[in-house]
Amino acid sequence: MITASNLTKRFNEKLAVDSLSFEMAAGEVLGFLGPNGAGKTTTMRMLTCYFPPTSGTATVAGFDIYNDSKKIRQNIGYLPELVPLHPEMTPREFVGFAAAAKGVAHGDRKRFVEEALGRCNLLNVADQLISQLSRGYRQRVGLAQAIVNKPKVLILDEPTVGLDPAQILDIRTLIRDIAQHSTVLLSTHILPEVEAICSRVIIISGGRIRALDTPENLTKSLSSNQRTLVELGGVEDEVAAEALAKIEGVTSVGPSSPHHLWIDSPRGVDPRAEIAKMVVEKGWQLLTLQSQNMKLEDIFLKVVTSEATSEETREEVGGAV
Amino acid sequence: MLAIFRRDLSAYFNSITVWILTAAYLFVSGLIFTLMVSNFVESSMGGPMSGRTPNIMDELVLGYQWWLGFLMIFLLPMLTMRLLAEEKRIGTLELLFTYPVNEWEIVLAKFFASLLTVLGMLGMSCISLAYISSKTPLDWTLVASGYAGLALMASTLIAIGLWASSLSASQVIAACITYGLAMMLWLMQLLDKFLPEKLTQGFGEDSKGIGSLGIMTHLESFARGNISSHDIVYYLALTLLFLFLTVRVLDSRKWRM
Repeated sequence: MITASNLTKRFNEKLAVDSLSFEMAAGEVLGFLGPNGAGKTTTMRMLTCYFPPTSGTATVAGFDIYNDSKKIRQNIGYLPELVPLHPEMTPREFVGFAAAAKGVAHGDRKRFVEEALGRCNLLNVADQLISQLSRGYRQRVGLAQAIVNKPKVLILDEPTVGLDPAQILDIRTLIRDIAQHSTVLLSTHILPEVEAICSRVIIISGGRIRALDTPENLTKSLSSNQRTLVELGGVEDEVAAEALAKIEGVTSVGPSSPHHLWIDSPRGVDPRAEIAKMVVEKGWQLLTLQSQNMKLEDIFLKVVTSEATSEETREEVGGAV
Repeated sequence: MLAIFRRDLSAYFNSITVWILTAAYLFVSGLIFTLMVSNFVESSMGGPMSGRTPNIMDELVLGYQWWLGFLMIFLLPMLTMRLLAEEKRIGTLELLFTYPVNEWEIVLAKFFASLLTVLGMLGMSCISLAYISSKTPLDWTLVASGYAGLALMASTLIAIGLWASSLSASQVIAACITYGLAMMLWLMQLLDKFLPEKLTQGFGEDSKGIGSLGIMTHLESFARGNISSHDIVYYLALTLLFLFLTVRVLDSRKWRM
């Protein structure tokens, strides 16, 4: 559905997006994960034909961004980050305007608009002014204008930013529902979001792809350590730590919170049985014993910070020369 | 394009600013009209003795239409300032660029929505003339010619305003730029008086010199009924130039660094 090859966008001397290449199959939900200023919006703007890339190319819904930009724009739905809406219109008017501007045939228009409003749960506020709607409802109006033309590809820039937790869940359910009919590319800097909705993740930072995989695979491949958490009673933390560190396969032990210790071991080595045995032998109380997977959050931080550090070093070297 | 045109037109109808501007326009022009009528009546009373027969077209309608045009210079910048600046500010322009419409369609849709609104205002200003015509016959062809000139002048001012509105996300800046340019075009006609003759004389025999760049100069030809092609070309050329510039500004996001 989307193929990007070496997409590059340069603003003056600043490289906003640096030869980005990826592919998206139909029906996929791909998450763009990255800190603010990573180049997510710029990439989306290139894919939606808002502006062309400095170099590189892409196809969206089978059309080339240079030659068939109009056809792409007929086949996509886009929700920009700030959810731009005309406050003096009602959701029904605004979505109707979007349908007309996107070239939905006159005969279908009314039906498409009502369908979009219905899917976004907007029917009960459809005739109120947008300026009087809450943030959550506005977000839905934004989504409704994006899906009104039944696009093959939906591009959503930070669709849950600025919403309260209940609204976030709401919008996520909605996106998952929409994803059954179209291919969705969404960006976010909220990690649980990606784990909750995306089938694949691209971690992007400094305009480059740092990692691209399913959330599960990323977790597996990027966590070199396995971490086990124990909670003990009847023993001083320091004493326990010293003893636990002697277990075979354990690389390091440290305190995580009072009475809680983390124990690292190489991936594939599970020290839980040994830990339990030792606790019983020493006569301590075992309150918790838990194997922890590295969360996407940790991976994200790891990927992004390690890149940032290496970039800083590079810059320092450059400066010295 | 029709969708954008209709949206902008309804935005005008829903906007309190537009109604206030229309009311102000009609109020001021109506006031001026009343003053002119009483002046005209006074001068025509002294008519037979002073040995002149006052012509209502020359002394009343011409002046009224001049004022209608002059007031537009102050009014239209406030009408056009929001067109693109507001959409830029709230971000709907970005959305519009990702809809399957091109820049010309956006610009023309907004231009015609404004033009139709202004034509509505001008139409309402006809009421005064319709009233007078019930008392004394008017030359309606001449009136229509004057209004054609007003419509052309309006389209020029709207195009300038649209271009100014495309430059930034601030309506105030847009209005300032439009005022500046409109005043400049108006004051052009004074240049003939201030510049040495050599500079102001144009080329060819009946050329009018640099003063003919003034936006009100051409309106007068329309109101007097002696329209020449350069009056029409003057307005149309300026309109097209600024519409073209607006499209270029909107296009610039594609290559600007």
